[in-house]
Amino acid sequence: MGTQVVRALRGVDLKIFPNEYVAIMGPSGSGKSTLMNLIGCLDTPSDGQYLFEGLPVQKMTDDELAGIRNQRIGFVFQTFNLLPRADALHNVELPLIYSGAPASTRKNRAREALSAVGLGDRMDHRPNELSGGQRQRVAIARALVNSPSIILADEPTGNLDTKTGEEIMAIFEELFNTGNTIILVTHEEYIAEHANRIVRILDGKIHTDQGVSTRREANHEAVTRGMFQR
Amino acid sequence: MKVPRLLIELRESVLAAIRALQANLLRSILTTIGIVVGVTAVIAIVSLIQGLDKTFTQSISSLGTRVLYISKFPWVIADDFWRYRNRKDITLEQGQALAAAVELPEAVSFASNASLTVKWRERSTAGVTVEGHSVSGRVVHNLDPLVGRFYTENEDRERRQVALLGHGVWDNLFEGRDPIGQRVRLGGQPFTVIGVLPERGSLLGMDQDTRMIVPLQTLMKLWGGRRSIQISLLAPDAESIDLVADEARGVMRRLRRVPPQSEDDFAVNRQEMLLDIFRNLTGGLTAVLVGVAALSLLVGGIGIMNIMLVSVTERTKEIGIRKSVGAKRRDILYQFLVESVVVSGVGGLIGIGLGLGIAFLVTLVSPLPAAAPLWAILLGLGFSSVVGLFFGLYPAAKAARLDPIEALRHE
Repeated sequence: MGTQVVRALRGVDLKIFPNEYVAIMGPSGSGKSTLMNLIGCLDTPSDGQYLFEGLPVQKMTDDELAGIRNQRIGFVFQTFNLLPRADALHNVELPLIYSGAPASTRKNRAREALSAVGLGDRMDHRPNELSGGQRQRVAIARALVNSPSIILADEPTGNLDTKTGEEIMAIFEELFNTGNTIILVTHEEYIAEHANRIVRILDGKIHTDQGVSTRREANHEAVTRGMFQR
Repeated sequence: MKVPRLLIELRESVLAAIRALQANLLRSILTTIGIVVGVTAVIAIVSLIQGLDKTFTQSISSLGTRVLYISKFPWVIADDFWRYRNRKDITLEQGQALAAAVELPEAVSFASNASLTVKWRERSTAGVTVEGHSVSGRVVHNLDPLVGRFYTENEDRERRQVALLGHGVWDNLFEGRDPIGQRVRLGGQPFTVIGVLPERGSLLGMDQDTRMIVPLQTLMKLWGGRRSIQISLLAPDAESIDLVADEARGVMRRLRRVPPQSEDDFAVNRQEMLLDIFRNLTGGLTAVLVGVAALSLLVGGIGIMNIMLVSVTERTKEIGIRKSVGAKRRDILYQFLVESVVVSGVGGLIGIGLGLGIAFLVTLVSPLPAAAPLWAILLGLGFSSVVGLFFGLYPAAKAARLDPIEALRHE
């Protein structure tokens, strides 16, 4: 981008442990997106070290990074980022295609993931036939389908209304309770409060990093009872 | 069973390619127009050439690969015919002298012809080719009658007015009734029918069944004492035809007193010549074909490359999504290569369909049996796929190299 070097992050030192629910907060331009891209292995640090499950990411090739993204990381984006011309089932099985799973395995795991997020009856719907909340649930199912180590969500409720947003946050709550590691990136205080640790970023550096005093939990009973069939 | 990853992705890529094609059907079809034209041209022209070839070789096989024809003029007069104007006729005496002098041929016969009207009772056929043959003509020209008999040396010498009917003439005048012994009028002259020839079909569009065979000397007495005759020599086998030709040329030059330095004042024709001309013709057609095909495939390939570049740009975000869930560079490369091969392959299929359609139409409106050989179809399909592969490589490589973060941010 021109001849000026732009440093999005100026020295970040961060450790995240399994089964943590971390929110990374900061205003736009703070570098939180760049941090998310680094954590998610979409990008490599120009300087410094990133150990993912003990492996040094900064030294990895593009193919190796892709492998980690496929197997160990589940992304959830603000704009859902689903393939528009494929149905929900096909969207969810996408990571499994790139990991070489045979068709029957893929379909079964995809169906399970979609059922787990409450979309068992909409597997053949395309994104444009689904509501915003349903699309995000498809995205979450896709993120889960390869049983990743971390789930990385970038403003997951940014394009949803408040009620739908709470439904989505309830899903994350459930995922956290069943042992997943959730990393949330947001600029909204009330979303970040769902986590139990908030890392605040400002001007490319970590400002504060502390556990949440009053943790906002998603409304389990009303929402989840309807969605998760056991 | 562990299915290879590439195979799994192949199916996914083909499905994705078909979906992409459907999404932009008109654009996809327009893209492949160059390929469609190229393949259509290949299929249609090859089919026509095959048809021509078949018809031609079938036709001229009746001329025989063992027969030499000596006549005043060559069959094909390439340059001006002034050269040949002053040639003297070949007489029956010369022919008989030749027959006596040559040793190599199995048989020698003489022929001449006229175009006359044939009448029986109240029916008539005009424009019948009346061929006068020596008796040896039966062997040399394969004139065994279907019914009845051939004439004898005696009948030829005594200039008897007997005749064999061509199949078409028999059909026209007698409509299946027995003609043997019937009297017909040939150009006003009465003739007795002694036989009927089998059906021959047509030679280069000329109907061989509207003719009659009469003894040569009868013909010459009635209609052409001063006509030039054609001498036919039957070689023992196809390989010795050159030797027979050399011997005959030598004898003819001697008989007609051609000076050593001058060229022949007669022509030695054979079936091979027609084949050569035909091959030249089809060779020319083939050259045109190759030119058209190559040009269209080039045009088609460039078209494919352009559209794939557009497609990559349009689907930048999709590429970003795929990479974010773990697609490697080669996965993306593979996907877009498959897509361009599918697009061009579909173009090839359309071209094959159109080409076959054209060939079929030709068989409907003309006597040509146009048949598309399998190798041409496979070639058309193969070429279109290769073009798709080659010209799709650059766009696919571009897609593979996209940075996932940038791509996700796109549009």
